[in-house]
Amino acid sequence: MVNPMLLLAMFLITAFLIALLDKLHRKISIYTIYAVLLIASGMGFWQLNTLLYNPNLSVVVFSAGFSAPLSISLQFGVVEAVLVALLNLFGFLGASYLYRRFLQSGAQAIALYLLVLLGANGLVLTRDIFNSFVFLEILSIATYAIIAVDQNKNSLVAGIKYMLAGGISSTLFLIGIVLAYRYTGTLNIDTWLSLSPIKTPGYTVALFLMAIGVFIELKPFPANGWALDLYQSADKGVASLISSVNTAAILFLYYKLMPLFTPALLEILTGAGLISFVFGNLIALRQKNASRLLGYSSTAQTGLLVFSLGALSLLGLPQGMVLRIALGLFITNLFAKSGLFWLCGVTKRNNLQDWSVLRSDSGLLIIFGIFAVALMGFPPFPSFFAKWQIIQIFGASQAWMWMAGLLIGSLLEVVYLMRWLGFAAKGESQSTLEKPFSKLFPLMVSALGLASVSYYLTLMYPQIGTNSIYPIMAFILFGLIDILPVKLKGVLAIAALSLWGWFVLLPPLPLMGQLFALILVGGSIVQIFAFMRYQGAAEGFFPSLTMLIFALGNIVLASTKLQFFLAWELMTLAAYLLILKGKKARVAALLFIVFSSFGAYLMLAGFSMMPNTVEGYLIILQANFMAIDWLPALLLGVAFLIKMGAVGVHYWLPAAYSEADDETSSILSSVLSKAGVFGLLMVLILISRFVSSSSISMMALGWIGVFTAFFGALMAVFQEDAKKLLAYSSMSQLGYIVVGLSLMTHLGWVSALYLAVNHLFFKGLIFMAMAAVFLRTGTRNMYEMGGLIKKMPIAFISVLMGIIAVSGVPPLSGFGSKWFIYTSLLEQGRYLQTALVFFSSAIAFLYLYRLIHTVFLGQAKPNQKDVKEAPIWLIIPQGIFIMAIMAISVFPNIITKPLSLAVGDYIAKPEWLNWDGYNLVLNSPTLHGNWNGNLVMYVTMGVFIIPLIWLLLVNARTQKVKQFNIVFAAERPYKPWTTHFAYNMFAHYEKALGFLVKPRVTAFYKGVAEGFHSLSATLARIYTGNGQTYMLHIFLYTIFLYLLLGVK
Amino acid sequence: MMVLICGLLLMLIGIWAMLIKKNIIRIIIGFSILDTGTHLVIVAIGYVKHATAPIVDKAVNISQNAEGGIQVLGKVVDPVPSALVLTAIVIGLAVTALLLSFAVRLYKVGNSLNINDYEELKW
Repeated sequence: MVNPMLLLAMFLITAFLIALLDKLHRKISIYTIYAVLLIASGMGFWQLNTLLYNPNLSVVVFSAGFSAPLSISLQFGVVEAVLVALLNLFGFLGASYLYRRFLQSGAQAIALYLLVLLGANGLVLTRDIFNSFVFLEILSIATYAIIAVDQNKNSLVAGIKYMLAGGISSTLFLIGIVLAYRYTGTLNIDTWLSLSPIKTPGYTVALFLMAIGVFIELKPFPANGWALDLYQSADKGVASLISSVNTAAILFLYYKLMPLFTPALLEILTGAGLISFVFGNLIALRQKNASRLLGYSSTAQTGLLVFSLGALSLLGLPQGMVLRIALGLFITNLFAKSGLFWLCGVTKRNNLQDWSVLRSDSGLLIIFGIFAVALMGFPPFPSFFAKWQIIQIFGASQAWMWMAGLLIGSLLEVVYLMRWLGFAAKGESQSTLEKPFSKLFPLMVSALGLASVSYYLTLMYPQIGTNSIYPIMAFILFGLIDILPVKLKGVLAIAALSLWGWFVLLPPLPLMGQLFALILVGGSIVQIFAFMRYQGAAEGFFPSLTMLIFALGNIVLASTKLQFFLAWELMTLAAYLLILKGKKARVAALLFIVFSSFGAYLMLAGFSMMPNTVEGYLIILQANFMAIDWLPALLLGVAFLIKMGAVGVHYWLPAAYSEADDETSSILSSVLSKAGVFGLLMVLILISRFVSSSSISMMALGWIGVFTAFFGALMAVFQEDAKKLLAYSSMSQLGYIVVGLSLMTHLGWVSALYLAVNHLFFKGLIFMAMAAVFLRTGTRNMYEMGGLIKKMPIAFISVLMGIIAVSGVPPLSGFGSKWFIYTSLLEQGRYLQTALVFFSSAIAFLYLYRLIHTVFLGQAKPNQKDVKEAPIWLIIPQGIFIMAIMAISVFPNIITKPLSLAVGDYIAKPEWLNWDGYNLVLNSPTLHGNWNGNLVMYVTMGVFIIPLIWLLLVNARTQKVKQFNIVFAAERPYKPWTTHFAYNMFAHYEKALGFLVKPRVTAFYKGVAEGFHSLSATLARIYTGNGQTYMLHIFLYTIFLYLLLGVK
Repeated sequence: MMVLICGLLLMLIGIWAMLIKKNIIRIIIGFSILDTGTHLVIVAIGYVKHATAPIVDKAVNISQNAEGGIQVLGKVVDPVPSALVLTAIVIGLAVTALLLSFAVRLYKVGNSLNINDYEELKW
């Protein structure tokens, strides 16, 4: 075993030697401390290794040859070894960041830096409480002094505030120690722990004073004004040191003292930690200054750690597990927060909006992305698993308030981190960065370190399985080959995904699963072709795209809740990255990720209330004999409805669908929304035992679906932007699916799934065709297009086929889906809903008519006279979709029969539903009917062909007219666009029905956002910047907590 | 008991000065008073009534026990708090000195010692 005394001695001796070495050469002293820090870190790793092979090794060392109470003991166990290894590693990285500053300021700064690390190491190792006080003071004083190395006014002021606050807290700590000593007669923590609990109030006060002394050093809200000023003004290398090394060491001291606390005290401090987490994140919401934002975020994360340690201990979890969970949060924060502080130092930009400098530097942008995503707890980063575990435990022990606080705080965190990332990825970039290697090196190491730790964690994590790693692997691999030409990457992606889909995904799945696998994965693979239209490498698409598709498959393939949630979050993340590629997608992507995270957190809460799933047995099968309560069902249901864009929570949808790149929009609309359908279906299966079509809940769900269909259609009518029109149309179609699912009958589900399949085909088709139009015309406004039928006949045919299918006119498959929906609704006696659904379909004609008429018919615009047909890559998926639509239109059995079988696994097929050849016969007690898609097709063909032949015969007599022959149309060319008939085309309907589509939902969410921001601004006012106010905060906070504890 | 009360009183005076006085030097003096008060309180906590200093000399009633070791019969004060105070005084000194040097530098940069003049960092 490594003697920890050596570690401390090494620091101390080197710190003294630095003064001499520095006289020889500045660089010698700098490289000496690098060596020392690396050796110290290595000692930690070595000790860890030793303990792995020899777990029973004695890990306590006594000073001066006496045993515990008489001497100071140091403990170098597993936890200490991990901390020593990590803290010194980050000490090394931080020192390399500070290389230039060390070169300037010399021996003093270098020695002080070593002393900070000495204090931190000592604080981690010691088991003596007074010794802790000494190391705490070494740590603090060295930190105070190192702040002053950067001699500007603000850092000096912040330094004074920090010292006063630190002075007060160490006074409290010291009095607490001596008071506790009076009651226990020893200063050794282990001896204290072995004593039976002392019940006198005086001892409780002593513990309180000790606890609060340490706790204030952990910067709890609102007694943390001094810390925020410090983070904002100090050199970024020092700020990073304080937020990582310093905080970690003090946090560990807090953890060591925790077993001494009475439950009441621990409860109060745990609550204070949670409050710090929520409010820190809330105030960070409106921060524009990057360093100060990081300060708030840092205090919030420390609060989260205090909270998790306390909450999990209070719930009686074994310490090993508490530590493992906390380690997940801790590591993420350590890597990401130090990294972000360093990044602040590299960009030298304080205003968040100016972070767009990163845009020209994709390497730094990726690093920034890794840190930001890790910090907000997305997979595959350790904090994701930690949060998952914590929420599961809270759910099992019914700690609802804690769960709510944790989730609210996390959501706020997502908002500001992603807004920041958006600024960096999408802002206007003007200048280039100066990037010295000494500053880049720690950034790269911590980003790589975090990524590889996360990768191996996901790989090793129990209950996850190899499948779950594929999305991440795909992201990494395609990220590595991202410089290859896009065509090659496309072929590789299609090959890999098809092989995986065929050999891995499909075989274990039941029919229902295969169906969704085909929709989600198959539907996406077809659309990969569209991405191949780009020239050159088109970097940035394929990593996210392949991750998205693998994750989609994993959602169906999941056998545990964790696998499902992991895949779901990876899908969300991938979709976010894809949306962010859009030119003006900053706000849209932010909305998407915020709403998705909101949904994900609801889902997380819902999952925690669900019975456990069996590993290795697909959820889709388990669902059949599992049941969940109404609350988890509600939470999960809302989560999935958000992904589908149901009315009320659809706010993100039009923005995301319209601002993403066209291929991405197509995937989002046609495929991604079906993941929500899959989820909702699973929820309905889980509650199918105690819910039926006539239950209030299902009626309500039905109405949600109906209104989604109705308002979606109505809003689509009034759009000028073709993509927004399609977005709302998508929302509307998903509404029909919700209605169908809400019926809880065999027929209802078949109709919903039939529409889901159809929607994939026709919405993919229309989006692809319109993508071609947008590409060629360079606009999305329909009134700026016209007469494209001659220039882009294939697009026209695709759109024509698509809108026939959407509108539900015979002979195409849309007719079948509408027939199914109406029939199943009527069969259940939901006449009112049928009527409104029918009305929505009528409205659909309006927007579909507008789409095809204004874009393809009418006058060709002069500036579009050279428009060409779409590239082949956009036509391939269109061709596939058209063939699919034709196939299921002519032979509906190939899809309806498997659907009926698949649904039959969950809800048995009623006797009265049968297939007679191609004729679907319905003979229920309440309704009779039949539908023969095959026959409908032939009849319509006939009806179509006879006039066509007649037309061809009489065609000889027609007069060909050129565009500017005024007889051709009622439209006059060369008018300003806004007087064009396509502009505000349905103004008269808007007069009649417009009041229904007033942006109430928008107003609501704007109000919510406004409310949070002004709350955030108001709360931030407590940080007046006055050092005395901050001290007052600390005193009042202490008194408040003391009164809460209520010791007399 | 007197010492304890004096110590607490000094602590209160120190806190009062830290919270009320606007001059940074005075605030630091307040901090120093708070520190001294703390030290007195610690010594008072360790004090045992009618006991002597924990130094083995005539003032302490001692006897030899069977093995030849020294056995203390009289009351002595617990030495640990006093020892701790020594450390605490040193640390307090260091912090005070550092605070003063900050104040001096701040005055050079900002030409004022009024703490209200340094509120740029906020919210």
